[in-house]
Amino acid sequence: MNTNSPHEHDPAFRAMLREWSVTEPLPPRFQAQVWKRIESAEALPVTRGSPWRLLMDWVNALLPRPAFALACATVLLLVGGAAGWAQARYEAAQVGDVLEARYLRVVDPYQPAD
Amino acid sequence: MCWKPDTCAWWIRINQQTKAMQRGITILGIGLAGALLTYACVYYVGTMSHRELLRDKTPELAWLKREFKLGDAEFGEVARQHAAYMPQCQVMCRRIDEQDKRLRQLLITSASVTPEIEAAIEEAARLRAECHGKMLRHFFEMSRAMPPEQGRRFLVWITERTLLRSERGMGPMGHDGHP
Repeated sequence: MNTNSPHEHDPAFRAMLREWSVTEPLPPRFQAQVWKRIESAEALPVTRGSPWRLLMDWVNALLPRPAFALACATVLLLVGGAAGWAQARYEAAQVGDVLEARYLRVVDPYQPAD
Repeated sequence: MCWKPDTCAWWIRINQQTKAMQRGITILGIGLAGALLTYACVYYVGTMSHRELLRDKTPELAWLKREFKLGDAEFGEVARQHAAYMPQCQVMCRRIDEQDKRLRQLLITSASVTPEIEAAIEEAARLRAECHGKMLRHFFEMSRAMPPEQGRRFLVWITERTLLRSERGMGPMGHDGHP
């Protein structure tokens, strides 16, 4: 294992480390307190930073949850499908108008040029 | 002080945050890519029939076939009548163009309404009436080649956009019937 200590290869220092032992007892409910602090730190709401950062934090907190990811995917697919359908309808109507005008110009010499 | 990234607390924290962020962004990216793909698929399917229309040799007739729900036999008859009408229509177009040119020339060289201008206007009106008569005969023949309901619909549609359209602005109420 790598360490950052410059005394890593000092025999005296290593011997001293081997002899060293902790005699001080841990405070009462030390382990429970540690876990409590970890949980409270994880539960802290993100309220600092730029709107972009807040959005990213929100996305990163929620999207990995399967239910939310599924809901988002459904909404995105529906939005994509609806947009494609609307665009196709719009262009189809335009093509219809163009061909209608073209037919009228073919059969009627008095139709306007465009 | 950090010496190596593996044991450096702030580096580990940044690395973990980046990984979490990458996961969220990856999921979002996949969702957006899916939405884009759905858009493209729906758009492709939705415009397929109209792209086919535009690839047709005579897209305006293909449009007519679809618009008035013509069967293959009915469309064959409509296309035959259309092809028979086209040479007459082209002759009319040439005569109208020549008459317009003549009238324009007279208008350029005259400072008042001369008998020649009046004759040219009358000739233009006569040509117009002749053209409309031929058009109307053709439209009736076309409508007879269609199923009865569609034929009636075709007649209403085509006369509204040709004969009646050109007459609309000429009433006593002024342009487009508005005072």
